[in-house]
Amino acid sequence: MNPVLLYVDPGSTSYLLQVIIAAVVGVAVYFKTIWWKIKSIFGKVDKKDSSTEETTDE
Amino acid sequence: MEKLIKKIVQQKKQLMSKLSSHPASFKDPAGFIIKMDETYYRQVNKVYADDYQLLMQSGLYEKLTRSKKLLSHTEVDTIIAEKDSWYKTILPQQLEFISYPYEWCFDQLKDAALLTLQIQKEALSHGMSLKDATPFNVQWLTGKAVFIDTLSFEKYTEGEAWVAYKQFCENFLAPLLLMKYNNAELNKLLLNYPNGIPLTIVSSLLPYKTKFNLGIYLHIHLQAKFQKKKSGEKETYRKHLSHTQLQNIVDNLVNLVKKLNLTEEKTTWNNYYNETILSKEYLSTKEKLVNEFLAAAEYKSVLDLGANTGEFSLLAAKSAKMVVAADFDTACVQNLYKHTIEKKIKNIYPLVLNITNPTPAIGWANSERNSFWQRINTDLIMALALIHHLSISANINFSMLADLLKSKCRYLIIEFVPKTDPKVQQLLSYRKDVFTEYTETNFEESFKQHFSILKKEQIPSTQRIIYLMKTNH
Repeated sequence: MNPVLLYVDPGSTSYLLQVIIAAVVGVAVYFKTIWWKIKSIFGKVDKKDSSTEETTDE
Repeated sequence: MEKLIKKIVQQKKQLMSKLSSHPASFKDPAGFIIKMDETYYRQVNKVYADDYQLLMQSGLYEKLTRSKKLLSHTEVDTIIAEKDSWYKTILPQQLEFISYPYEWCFDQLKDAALLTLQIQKEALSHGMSLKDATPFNVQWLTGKAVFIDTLSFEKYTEGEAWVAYKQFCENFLAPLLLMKYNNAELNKLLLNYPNGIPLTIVSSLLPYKTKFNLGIYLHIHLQAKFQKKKSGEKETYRKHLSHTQLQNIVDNLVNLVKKLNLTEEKTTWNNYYNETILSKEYLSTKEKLVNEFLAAAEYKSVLDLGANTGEFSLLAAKSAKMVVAADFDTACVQNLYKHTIEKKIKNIYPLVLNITNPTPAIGWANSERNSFWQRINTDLIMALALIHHLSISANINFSMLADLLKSKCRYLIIEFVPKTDPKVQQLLSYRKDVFTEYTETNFEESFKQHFSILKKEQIPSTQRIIYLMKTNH
């Protein structure tokens, strides 16, 4: 392990990273939503496609 | 009668003062595990009182335990291990067997990862968040992954990031990706890095093409780069991270993990029964014999050593309370795990284990995570078609094996495969035959030192012999 890393609080680097990831993922989700809407106009929506809805099983 | 009860309570209280926390519980100030009379309890400390109440009252506990995602518990008032910090003692549903992520196959780790993410999602919608995301908090109960750390939940404050995000990446995502893209045995790196595989290492090991997968790039490669760059610099950047954004990150991880699948690999072992000439007839007669022997023994728990895809573990599981099916071939364990999930078999614990080098004890003072033999306690051991591999490939002689097994079980179903057997000949074709002592007589003599032979049968149309033995003590 990089010895410098030992002095870094485990959570600290991940805050900025999570902000960046949230932004990127947010854009992806935005476009996906638009894509579903377009698909639904043509009646081609497959519910299993919707990535945000499928996470809570059972 | 009343006096007696008082005395018992008194004795228990005295005992309490001697009780200390489980060696693995030092990391979390919220509480610790206590073992008393073979039962595990968990003390909840005062500092965790608010979070504990929130867990119980927000409906999160109810929701998670109903769907069997979280281990359920009852509150007990009498057992107090450390008075000053004590808030509550809980008695969790007890587990039959503890296994660790470096002993799991790909799908087991994947299911544990998805469970952790589903719990985090559920927690977020109840105003809480997981402060830990380690596979050591996941165990197996009635054939399914279950989250065991009741004290891992904390109040979520809007704007905060997920504190266990990096831990999740290092402990779940990293080994899963290495298993998929490099080698299915690489979760064993967790043995060396039980707190998570450093992402700089993971990033350098993963193939270049993974950089073109957005999820893998963000959660692994970018994070690794960040760690290199950011180390030493003070983090002052604090931007508001909304609840939805946090959920999006978790969703993104869920989608990434869900899509990870192991390409099925044919090893020598996971097609053993299907492809070898040994198949069908040999198997059915052997099954009949094993069934007879099982019926003649008394047991609740079984350990199947060299279980392969679990053919005989499945037989034992019909009458045993629990069966640990151990094999060193991760593809075999994967097959068996898939089968148990598909058929909803609740009492088999598939385990990746090399009997010639079983899982050691690791962590602080080597007592944080126990070794394999410290964790297992079985009435009956099955060692079928194993002896020739131990003797000829690994140079473990009969008395060494008998010596080990005598203290691990009361009954033993063991198969002797003579030198004339084609499989043994195959093994010997790669090396010089220095195994002059590899004979049936020597085998029996060595085991008779510690065991009595109750039954002995030759498997028809082979020269292999199956024994049912019982320890002498």
